[in-house]
Amino acid sequence: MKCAALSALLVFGCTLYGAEKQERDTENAMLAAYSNLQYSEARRLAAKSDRPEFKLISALCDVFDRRTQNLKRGMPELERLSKSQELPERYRSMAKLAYARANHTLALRERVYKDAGKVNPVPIYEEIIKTYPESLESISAVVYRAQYFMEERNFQEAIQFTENFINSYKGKNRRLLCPLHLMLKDFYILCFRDYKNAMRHAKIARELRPANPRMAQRLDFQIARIYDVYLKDDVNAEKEYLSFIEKHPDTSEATPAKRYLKELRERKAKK
Amino acid sequence: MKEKNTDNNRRKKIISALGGILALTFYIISCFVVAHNNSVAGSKNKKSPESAAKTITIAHWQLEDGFREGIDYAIKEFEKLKAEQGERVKVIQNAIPSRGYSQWYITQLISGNPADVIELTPSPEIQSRYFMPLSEHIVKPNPFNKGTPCEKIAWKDTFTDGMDGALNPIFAEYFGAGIFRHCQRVYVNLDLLKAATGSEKTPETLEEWIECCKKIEEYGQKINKPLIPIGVRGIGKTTVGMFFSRYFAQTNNHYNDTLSLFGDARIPNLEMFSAFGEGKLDIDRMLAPVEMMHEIGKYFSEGFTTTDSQQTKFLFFTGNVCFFPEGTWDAWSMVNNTPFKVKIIPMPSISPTGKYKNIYSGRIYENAFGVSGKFGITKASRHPELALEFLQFLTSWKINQKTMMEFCKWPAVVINTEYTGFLEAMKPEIGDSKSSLQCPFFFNEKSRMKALESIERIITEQPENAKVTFAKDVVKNVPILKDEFENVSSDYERQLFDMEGNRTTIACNILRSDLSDAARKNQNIRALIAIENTIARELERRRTIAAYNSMDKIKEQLEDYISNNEESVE
Repeated sequence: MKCAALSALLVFGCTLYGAEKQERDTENAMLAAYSNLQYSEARRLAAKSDRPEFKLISALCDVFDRRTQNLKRGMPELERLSKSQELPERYRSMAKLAYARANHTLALRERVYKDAGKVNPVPIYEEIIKTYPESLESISAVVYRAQYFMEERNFQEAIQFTENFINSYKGKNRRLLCPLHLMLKDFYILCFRDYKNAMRHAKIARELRPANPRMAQRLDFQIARIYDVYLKDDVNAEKEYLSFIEKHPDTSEATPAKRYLKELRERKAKK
Repeated sequence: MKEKNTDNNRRKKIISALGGILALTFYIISCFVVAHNNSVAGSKNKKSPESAAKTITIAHWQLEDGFREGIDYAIKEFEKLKAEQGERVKVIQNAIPSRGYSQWYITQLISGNPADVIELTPSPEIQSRYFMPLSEHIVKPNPFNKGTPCEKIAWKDTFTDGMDGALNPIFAEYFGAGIFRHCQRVYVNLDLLKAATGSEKTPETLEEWIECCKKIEEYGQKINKPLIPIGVRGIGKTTVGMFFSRYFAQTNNHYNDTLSLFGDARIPNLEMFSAFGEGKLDIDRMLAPVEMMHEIGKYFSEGFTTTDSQQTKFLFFTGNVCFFPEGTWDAWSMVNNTPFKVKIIPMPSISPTGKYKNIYSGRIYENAFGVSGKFGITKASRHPELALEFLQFLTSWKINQKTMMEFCKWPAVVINTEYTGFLEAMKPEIGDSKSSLQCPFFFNEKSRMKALESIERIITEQPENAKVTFAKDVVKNVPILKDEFENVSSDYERQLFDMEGNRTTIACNILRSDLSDAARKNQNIRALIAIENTIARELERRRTIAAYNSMDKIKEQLEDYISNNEESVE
């Protein structure tokens, strides 16, 4: 009796495990197809289950697959899923952000989707920042929220909001903050020609290392030039030019960097 | 009672035995299924003699002399190297005529059976859909650079442009690597130059060039032969555009040093428009290159506006043209297929002591020019690792120099190369280490064509006041410029939406439970690159709006200039 019950349990367990594994495999395949822009395949796999995360992928295909875009269907579904408690936790921040940002960017192009302007993305951005403060989604949400301030010409608020987030950030991975420092550098220059504060953020961004190697190289050059041209700090400018030439000797920017260094030294010699 | 107990015991034994048999049965079935699956997989992997060699294909549209031969050489070396490593490999080269290439390319990709390594066309969406991302590979050294000066350098930094031109900003990814680069030079018929001027000394400055051209014309009249001092490829306005850009940069590149808001090496084009609107640019100085075109253009062939490259080459080969400005892609045939001596020289620059000395800013450096001929690996490739190895091999320090410099006689894309003999003339110039910059009289293709048409008319009609004539045409083009800014701004708005789509693809990848740690780390980096790109794209959008808003002020300034400088204009 015990043996039979054990066997039946074993069989049931194996079946369950097999079914779960299959669904997990399908989920992974669906996510892989979507991330490779294989929308048809992603849709086909998403149709295999009624689970909310499968429906989410289907909705994302409707919104972002430009070849067969269906915003009338995709956007309301994305909205529903982003508010659904049935959606697994790990999908929620992505769904909310996608919905908010899609509305935000579609509002710039009303002829494409006229309902976009009716949704205010700001509360959703702020909810993501509050609920998932150490996630990649919150970093994106901060960027989008700050850009929303900029669109309203609230330049000081854009800067303050971003700096507040950075100051209150408790996550271990501080590298996630690098894009925010890059953005603040740009804001200070663009809105206030405040090169002192721009430099502060440029140097932090450099320490944290931009993910795009081209951006990292460009930042090194910008730091040298800002010291030279805008902060009139010859000592640091010289140091930065030398460092740039040493770190990036074969790049196209090394040529003007050498010239600027030479000119700076000639100016110093004349003083 | 006793009987009942015996029956119960018997029943229990039967059920136990049944349970045991069931469990055993399932075990045997599982073993069978696993064994069967393994044998199917095994038979798929089993190499038959015919399919022992892994085969990949490389496809491109470069039919120029030496290119296919260079690739053939690289293929032989690669196959040999792999054989030494115990791997049988075959690489097939497919060269497709450029006219049909775009259609062939799309069809191949959609069919799902494309070549493994393909020369890319510019569309970012097609690249991201069909080509393998390379970012995790380009930050590591190219394994085929062992024992060379590039051994420890990241693959991307072994390119002369650091792979700048290869980053797809919308998808935050690299999809291709370039294998050649080109620059502009002037081909000189030395025999004709000597006959006309008494010397083989080639001009170094614009002023000297104009003097040479005068003498060539006079010589032509003397021998009663219609000689053309400068042969120009008129169709597409390529040569006129090249001349104008060069002289504009040489008279205005100081703005890079003083006006770049963010401290970049080159002031972005859109910032030039904003600076123009703020009254920070000297209009008269910016128009000086128009005057130079007015002068040098007198020595272009009659009817040059409708002459194509083949016609001009023919005129050059038959000894009727003395100077032929053109890219380095045809250098070898230009030098070797002519019955006279040909020298390749850099385009003569403005003299720092001549007529334009007060507005001369310096010569630009050329090693900033981007790399072309980008090749990517298709996602549908059956041997993506092998295809990647081949692409790395093609762009390795030794092989790239061999294939490009020795076979094609083209500049290589890799750093630390030596330009000797014939190739010395193609060595990137350092000049006065000045960065080039774009002129704020045009922006995209339509306004650029209109501006160059105006310059062509100035050359052919020779009005008295070339600067005012051009300024009037720029004023007429302001609505076109505004349209272009609006279109680009709309493009950026669409791209910001697409970038959100891209962010969701990266996020979905990260959500996969079957992702390795290394792959997850790579996706996190891609996510950060995507955020950085979004910030950069938004900045470009703002710059475009600012440039659009500057146009009315630009128009006012040009109108003031015209009314202050107008004399008699035809």
